[in-house]
Amino acid sequence: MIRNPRLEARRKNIKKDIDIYVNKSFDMADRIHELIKKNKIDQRILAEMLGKRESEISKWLTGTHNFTLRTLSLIENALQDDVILVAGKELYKVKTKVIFVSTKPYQIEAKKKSTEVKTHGRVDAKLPLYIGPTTMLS
Amino acid sequence: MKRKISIELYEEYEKVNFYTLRFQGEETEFDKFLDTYPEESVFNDDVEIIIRWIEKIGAKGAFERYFRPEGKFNDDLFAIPLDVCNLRVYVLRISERIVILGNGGNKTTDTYNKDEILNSEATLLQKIGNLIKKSISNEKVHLYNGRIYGKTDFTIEIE
Repeated sequence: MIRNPRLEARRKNIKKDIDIYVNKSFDMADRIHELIKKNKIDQRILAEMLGKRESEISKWLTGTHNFTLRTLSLIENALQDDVILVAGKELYKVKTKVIFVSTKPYQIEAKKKSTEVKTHGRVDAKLPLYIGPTTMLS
Repeated sequence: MKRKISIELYEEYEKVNFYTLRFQGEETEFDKFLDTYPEESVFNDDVEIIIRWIEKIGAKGAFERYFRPEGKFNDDLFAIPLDVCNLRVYVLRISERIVILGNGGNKTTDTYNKDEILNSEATLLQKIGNLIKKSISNEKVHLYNGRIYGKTDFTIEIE
C-alpha cells in the first residue's frame, strides 16, 4: 500500500483526542445511516420528521459533524433507537442483565467434545438447561 | 496560459485510492495545502481531522454521504467536510474507489466563487473532472479496480 511520506510524518504527531473525535463521529454517522435504513425511510423523510432541511441531515452523515446532545436526542427520538450509549451505568446494566438461556451453548460444547459425549452415551436433549452469561459478556 | 498537469497516485487503501494533481515542475496540489497549513498553524487540528478522514474513507469507501457537495449539478466536485471550521479541501470523487485530492484554504466568503484562490482551486478540479469524463468516453482513460489507467497528463488553459 502506497503511503505519502509527508503525510506519514504528519500522522505521527496527530493528537489522541483527534483520533477519538474522528472515530466517534464516523461511528455516529454510520449508526444514524443504519437506523435510517432500518426504519425504511430516507434523509428527506427524516428531515420532514424533524422539521429540518435535508442538507442538515446530509451534514450529520458526513462523519465529521460535531453533534450536540440536543440534536442526538432529537435523532434518537425520531429513529426510536440509541445512537450513543454513555459508558458506566448503561454498560453495567447490559453486563448484569443480559443472560443467555438456551440449550444451544451446551450443544455446541457437546459437539466440540464429541468423543467425550459419546463415551457417556448421552444425547443433548437430556442434558441440563444451560443458564449463564454468554462468553462475550463474561 | 497553457499548463501541463498530471494525475498521480498519492495514497492507496483497501477500499479507496487517493490521487492528486501536479503541475509540471511543482509540488502536488495536496502537498501545497499541507505547506499552507503546517503543524504550527492555527488550523492544525482541522488538518489532522482531514488526515484521519482520508484514512477512514480509505477503509470504508468513498460513499457520497461522507462528502460535502460543492460543485454544480452533475460534476464530481466535493469538499472534505469539516463542521467546526471553514477550512476546505476540494476533491473529485471519481467513484466509490477513486478520489482526487486538490488544494484548498480557509473559506471566508459564503461561496467559493467569491474567493479568488478557492475559486481557482475548485475550477481546476472541475476542469480535470470534465477532462477525465471526456477521456473515459473516448476510451483514453480507464477506471479499473480503483485505479486510473491510460492518459493521466493533460494540458489545460489557466486564466
